[in-house]
Amino acid sequence: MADRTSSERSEPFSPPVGSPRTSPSRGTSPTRDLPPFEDESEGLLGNEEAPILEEEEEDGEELFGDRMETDYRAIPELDVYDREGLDDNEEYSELSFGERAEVERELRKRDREEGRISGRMRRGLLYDESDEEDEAVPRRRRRLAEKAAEGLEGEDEEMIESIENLEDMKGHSVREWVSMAAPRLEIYNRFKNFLRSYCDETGKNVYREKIRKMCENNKESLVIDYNILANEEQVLAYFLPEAPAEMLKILDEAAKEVVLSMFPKYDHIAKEIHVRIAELPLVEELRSLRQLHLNQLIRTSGVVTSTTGILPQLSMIKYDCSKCSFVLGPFYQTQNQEVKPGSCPECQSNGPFEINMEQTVYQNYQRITIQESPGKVAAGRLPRSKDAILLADLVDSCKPGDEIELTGIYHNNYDGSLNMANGFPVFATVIQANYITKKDDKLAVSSLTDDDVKAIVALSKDERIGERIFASMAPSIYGHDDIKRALALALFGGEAKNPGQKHKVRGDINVLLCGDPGTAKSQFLKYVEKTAHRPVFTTGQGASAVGLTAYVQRNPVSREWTLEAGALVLADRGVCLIDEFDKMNDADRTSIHEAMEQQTISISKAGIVTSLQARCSILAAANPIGGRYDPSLTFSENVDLPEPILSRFDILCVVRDTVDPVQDELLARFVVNSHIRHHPSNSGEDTDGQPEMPLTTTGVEPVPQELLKKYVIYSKEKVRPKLHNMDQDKVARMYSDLRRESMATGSVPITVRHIESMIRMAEAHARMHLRDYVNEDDVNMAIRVMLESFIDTQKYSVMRSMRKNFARYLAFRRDNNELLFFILRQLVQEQLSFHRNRFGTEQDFVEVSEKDLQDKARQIGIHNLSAFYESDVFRTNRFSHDGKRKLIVQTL
Amino acid sequence: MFVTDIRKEFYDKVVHERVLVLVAFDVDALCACKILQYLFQCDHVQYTIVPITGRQELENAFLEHSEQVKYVVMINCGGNINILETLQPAEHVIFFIADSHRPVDLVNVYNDDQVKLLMPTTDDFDIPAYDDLFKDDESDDDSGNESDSSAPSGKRRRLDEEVLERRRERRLWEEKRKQILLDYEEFSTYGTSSAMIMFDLAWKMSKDSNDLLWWGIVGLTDQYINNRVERGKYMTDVGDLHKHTLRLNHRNEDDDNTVSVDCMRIYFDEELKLALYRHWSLFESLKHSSYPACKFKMWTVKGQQKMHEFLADMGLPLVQVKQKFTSMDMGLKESFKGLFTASCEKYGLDDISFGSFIAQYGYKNKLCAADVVYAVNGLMECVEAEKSATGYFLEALDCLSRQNVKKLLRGLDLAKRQLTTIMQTVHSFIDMKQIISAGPFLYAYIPEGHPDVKFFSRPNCLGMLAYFMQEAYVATSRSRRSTLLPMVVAAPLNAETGSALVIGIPPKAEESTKNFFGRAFEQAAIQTNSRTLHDNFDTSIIEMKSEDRSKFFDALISLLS
Repeated sequence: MADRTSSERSEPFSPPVGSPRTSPSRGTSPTRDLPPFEDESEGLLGNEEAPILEEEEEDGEELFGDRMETDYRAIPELDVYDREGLDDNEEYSELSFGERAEVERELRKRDREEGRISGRMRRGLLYDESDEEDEAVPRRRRRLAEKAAEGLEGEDEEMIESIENLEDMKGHSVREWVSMAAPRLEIYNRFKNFLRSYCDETGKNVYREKIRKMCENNKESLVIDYNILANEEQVLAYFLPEAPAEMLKILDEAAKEVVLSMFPKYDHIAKEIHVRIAELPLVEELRSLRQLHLNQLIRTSGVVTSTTGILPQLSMIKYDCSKCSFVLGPFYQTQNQEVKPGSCPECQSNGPFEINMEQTVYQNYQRITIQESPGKVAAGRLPRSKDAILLADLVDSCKPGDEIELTGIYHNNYDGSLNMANGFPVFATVIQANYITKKDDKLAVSSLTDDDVKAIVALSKDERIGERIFASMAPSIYGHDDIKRALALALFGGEAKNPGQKHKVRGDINVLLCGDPGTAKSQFLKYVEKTAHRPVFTTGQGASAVGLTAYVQRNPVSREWTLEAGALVLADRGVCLIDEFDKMNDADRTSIHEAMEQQTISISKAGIVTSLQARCSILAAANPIGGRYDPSLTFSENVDLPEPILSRFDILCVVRDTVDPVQDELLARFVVNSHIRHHPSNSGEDTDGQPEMPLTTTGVEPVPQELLKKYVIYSKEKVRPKLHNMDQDKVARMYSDLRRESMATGSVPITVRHIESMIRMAEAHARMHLRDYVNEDDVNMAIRVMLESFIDTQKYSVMRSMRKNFARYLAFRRDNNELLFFILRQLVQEQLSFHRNRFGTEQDFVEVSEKDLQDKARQIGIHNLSAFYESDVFRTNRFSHDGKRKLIVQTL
Repeated sequence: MFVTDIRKEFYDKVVHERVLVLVAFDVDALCACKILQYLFQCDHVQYTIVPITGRQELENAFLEHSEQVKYVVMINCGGNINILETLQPAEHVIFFIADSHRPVDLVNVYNDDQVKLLMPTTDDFDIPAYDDLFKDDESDDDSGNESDSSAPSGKRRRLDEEVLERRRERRLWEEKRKQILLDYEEFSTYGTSSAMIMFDLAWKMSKDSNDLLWWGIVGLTDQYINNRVERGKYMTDVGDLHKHTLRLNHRNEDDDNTVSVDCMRIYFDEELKLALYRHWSLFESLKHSSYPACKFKMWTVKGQQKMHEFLADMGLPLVQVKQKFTSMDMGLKESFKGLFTASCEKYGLDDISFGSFIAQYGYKNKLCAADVVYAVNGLMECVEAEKSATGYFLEALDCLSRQNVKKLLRGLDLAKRQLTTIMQTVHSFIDMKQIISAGPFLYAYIPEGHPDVKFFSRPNCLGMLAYFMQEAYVATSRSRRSTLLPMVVAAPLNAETGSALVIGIPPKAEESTKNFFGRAFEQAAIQTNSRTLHDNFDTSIIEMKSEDRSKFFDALISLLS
């Protein structure tokens, strides 16, 4: 009850003088979660509590806001006294001093309880557990006690009276006010207190945790969420954008003290702690920075266009007096001008002084240029750019091409040449960065938590994990199981080998999709772009030879020749996706030969002779000659791609757009459903009425995409499958068979590369199961994928006989039902064409004799068909089995 | 028979004769051998050193040399088997056995002529009295006669009573004997290190020097690192050695400048349970040493964070910690031990330090006893197949000499590889939950195709793995019972013959080194008719056919529960 007068002054019921906002503003109590700029009507309701919390009322409210003007508008309904307020009025006036104190205590108690319920009181406080008990003691005294308890040296701090209402600046400007000793100390203490005591809804001490994280990684940046600061300490949040340079300095010091209290020896590791302000509410466009923003904290976004090298900047400087060799200093340098000594205190001479190289402390300094993101530039305007300065640990946190959000201080600095040009003093501006976030920080292995790892390991224990992963590739695309399989294998990739460190054998799997238009080839690529780690997407027309590999450019600033990475180099250890592969110039295409097999890119231009790494797998999509794939021709006749490049692809997928009434209908339904389900405004409830369509054709539950992404990253990082007891005979036999067939039919050449491909695929399949060893299954799957890819490339006439030859390989992992279904469909097709040719009419249903199917099934060793008649595949394709007539009927 | 005056009864006897020295494959034995070798060299004694891995080799080695030698010295082998029965030596051959394996075979103890045990009398043997074990031959003959020839019927009745009485007595005595033997042989443990005994001998002969002392220290430290000595005993032994250290190193304390390149200095210091950190980086060492790794649960992300936090708390920058220890900042290098001890309590690493010795020769080579143990072990159990086992044994023997620092450095590299492999294996076993609680004991099996299987076909390395795994399992498991469970680890030994190496270690909570697996393995093998081979001098390490594994373990479970 220290401040009796002030409490009197702000009685809620005294007539509102001048600004109607002053009294409601008093109502910010810790029990309510008010935003800093709040509506008057809300504030009014808080009136009641105002006298009670008078002592705690240093925070006050934002007086100087954007909407300051609107505070003075006439609001008639607010000029009337509050209803309930009026009711108590008489009662209150009768209260004696003692009674009043009584009531206050009562109310405080209630407040405390409310606070406890709403969970916003300072619960779970680590530094001061007894906080709630002595809420009665004014906060200031408590803080002093706290300080005493911690045994901080507070001699001179005690001397300066801490300030209750910091927002009252006594006529100074914010900048002046903040640099004065008393407010400085107050800010320092308040921020320290904030760091120590702020808890989130779950009662966790947020910043303690953050500091610990920071220290674990030996970082020196502590990220503070501005919104939280604004909720907790409005005044600080108000001062911060106004006088950022001064404020940040104070905050840095405060943060350092908190860190040191937790980790007493942290100053061995990091000399300084930097407070970084995140989530500043207002985002300014680069274009809209004005004089108004000078020396303020701003947040803006753009693309980094260039960065300089990292230079050591003088931070604390010492001079040697060349006459008496006395060491002067230290002098702390500011950002915009150099501090120099006037005269030597020892010998009174004024120079010359030399910089003492040993004792001077430097800091990292880097200048970057950011430019407005292309998307944000208004039509017809050129993007503007601005320089930014990165200091200390921010250095190298972004590289050219990154899209960043930058929080920093908008500074001006004197630039002589600019003055000359303009003829009168103008200033160049620069942003001194405080916090940088990259727009798309890709998740990496280090970001996998223990829980993730657990989930991944659990997932790998699933027996059908292989099928599940295949099924969850591009779940919004129907069918194309072979492509999904190929993409999944490519995502996981084989194991690169390096025998004797002399030459490398690549482990990445290259895939070429080729087929009719409208078969979702590009969609597949786009899907991979979203899922894979480090994807780079290009199109055949949009990429030139150097754009894919690397180009030499003269740096506009330094006038030196520099090397710029192309798409393949950027995709190192990732995936390079090339759409419209056939549209590419032959000359351009040959440039990627080296990248596809040797996985390096060699440059010798303009005096730069080097070899860059390009360990990426290439997924390409191409259209056949003339737009449509002609099944009567072989693959090489169908596409305009030369042999060397075709043989470099491990898997060739031919996508043919065939007409099949039932499949087409299923597909149509799938597409419609998918559109319904994935409409942006669809909340998920509307679909309840509709029958749930199976997402996949194989009927296994797909893996959630986020998890899948992590799964891929984890497996690539942790699993190194080895070949062990591999069935060499099988591969050898396979290879010689394939070679013979290839010679005979002349579709695509089969080379030694294909053995390697098979091994790679087997490894990828093993990795998919998080196995350390390649086993029989993996080899079988690799052979199957290889064969399918090979057979697809054959002429239609040869394909059939070949399928028969290799049937036992192809049947791997395809359950009987699928196989039977395949046979049945062939029968149906035959029947249909027979009818068409015979009668020339389309039928509503097709009947196939059961015996035919049984015969065919027996050939592949399946004898019992009853399970097939019961299966989902059978039914969803509208087959029905008529046992009496021994017929299988499909209604079209 | 125990030797009381080791110098008179042992050394003076062999000094002019040709001696066969049989040495087991462990660091302690190596050190003892090294000391003995030095003594023999001083006195121009002819000797032959034969390294042996198991009982079979012991017999072969003896057979090979038995014609030429009269005196056989056995180091860390042979104590716990009946030498006379196994080797069938000629009458004049005398065995001197310095073996840390316990219990000592009773025939060895009570044979006065041919077997002399070089073991300090201060050790606690608990040897049963002679009368309880052996009866006069006469009674044996009697009973033999009795059963063989049927006496005339006239005297039969009287005799019968007598005989019956005697038989009853004998039965009782035999039962008692059995019980005593059972009690005596129930647990296998370890006694004083052989290197210490040999150093004692050297001291008594006034031939002790810093080199010999260092080998004694290494031998003792080997026991400590491989959990073969109880903490209390280690402390007293260290105390003894400390006295010798002070005696032999006092002159250097007068002025610091007397350190010369060839001079060796040993001093006692608190040492951290961080393997090889002087030759590695602190970070790697923290990660790969069993004690901190298990305390932090280093195989989880959280554990890694905890370790980082620990380092931050000590004020050690990650950059410094991750680089080689030798290149670390001088100030940090000197102060980090203090920082460790100051912060470790907060992170539950209370026992991170133990008393040990550090040797320094010249300016460069500062070696800690524990590191030398790891290095020698790494060299001895090297998995590269360049040389035979004997070759690596000799290599390891060589690297103990001061001149062969290069070999020791190679050993350090090998030891690092060993530790890394162990850590990785433990990590993956914990991750995949492959350590199974089989009821009365924990059980882990290293599968045939495991990439590092060759490392674990060596008994010492497998032992280290077993202890590491047990500690890790205890650290992760929530049940308190896990500390009371012993552990069995099996690893494939030879893929062609399909054999596996099995090791059993006592529970973590157990203070002593008592290990009951020796007998348990034997019985389980008998019960199931498994093809096992009890070749190792450690009874708790056996070889078996891989196919018999499952039935063997079923029997073991039922036996122990």
